[in-house]
Amino acid sequence: MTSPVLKDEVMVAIGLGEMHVSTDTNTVLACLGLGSCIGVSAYDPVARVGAMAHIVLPQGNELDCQRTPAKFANSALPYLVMEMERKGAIKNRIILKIAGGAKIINNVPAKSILDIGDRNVTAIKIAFAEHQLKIKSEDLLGKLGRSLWLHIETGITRVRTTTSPVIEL
Amino acid sequence: MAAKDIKDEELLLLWEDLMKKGMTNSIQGLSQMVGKEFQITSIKIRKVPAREMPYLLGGPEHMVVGVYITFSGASHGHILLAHQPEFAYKVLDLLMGNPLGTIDSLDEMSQSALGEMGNITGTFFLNAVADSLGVFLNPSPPIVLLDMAGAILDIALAEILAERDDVFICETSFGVSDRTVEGTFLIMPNASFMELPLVPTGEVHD
Repeated sequence: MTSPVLKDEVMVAIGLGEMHVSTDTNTVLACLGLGSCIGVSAYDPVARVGAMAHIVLPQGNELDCQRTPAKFANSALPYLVMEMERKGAIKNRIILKIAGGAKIINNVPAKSILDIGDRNVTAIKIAFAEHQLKIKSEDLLGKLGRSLWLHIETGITRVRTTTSPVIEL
Repeated sequence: MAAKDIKDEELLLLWEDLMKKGMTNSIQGLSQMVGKEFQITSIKIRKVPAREMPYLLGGPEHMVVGVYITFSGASHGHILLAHQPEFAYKVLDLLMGNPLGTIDSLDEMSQSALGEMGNITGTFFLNAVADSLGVFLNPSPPIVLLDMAGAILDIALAEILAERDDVFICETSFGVSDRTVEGTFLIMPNASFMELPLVPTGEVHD
């Protein structure tokens, strides 16, 4: 598979339940191999602050959300915005794009743990509405794995699936 | 002892022997299926942080074969068997009597054969564990996946990560004596499965 990371760029892979903020223009934030998980790419083009979260589950309780806020759709977004604001971003300038939520396994009962992709998508969209945030673009659901990249230099977000080439999201 | 009271190290000790029995039986099943004797070269049972999991399979974008088997009976849960596609292709070649290297992609027939391989290795594994524990486990038909390692692991990890940040795994390396076919199975069980040794006492809490 080809990678959109350029020779002089350094990729920072965001692991399950993690979030990373960067102002380093040589950095590319990435969520690789997203299945049912959701990658959220966030960028303030004026402050040139970028962030990415790798969300695993739709809902966490209060304690879990405090401990690992990026893991859950209901806590990841406010956490991501807060951390970006610490680095100089302004909430209403942040451009947000999301990818993932695939149903890798077919023929599973609804509400089964193996149907988590759908539930993650529902939960993240609820979270966007609750926090008055807009999704600029998305690449969700389907049956294939995805990878998501955010280039801090330009704010460009790219995505690909297992079988399709890299495109701009 | 209740499941929530048992420490991870104690749980790993409980499983060490069980996993060896399970994998030995599983590899014997594979040997019977392909008509070639596979031998286990190493078995490692350990706990790893969830974020490291995809790197055990070559990286989150690395294409892998995953076989999901859910089970019911004494407990409900699932196991994921994951391995490199190249190993799957070689086993399929052995199965079909081809020269090694003939198969290099998965068509419908190959997927079906791979499913059967997963069925045998998975159910032989589960049967050995169930027999050792004196419990009944009813495995489902296997679900075969070929996708990025991260995407395949997501599903199993989502359930595990709802309760903990690290994962129990069993890595088994095996091969034929002339080393022309070597593979590693990675088994990643969910919490219900890990708690099975405690089931006969009736003290497992859901």
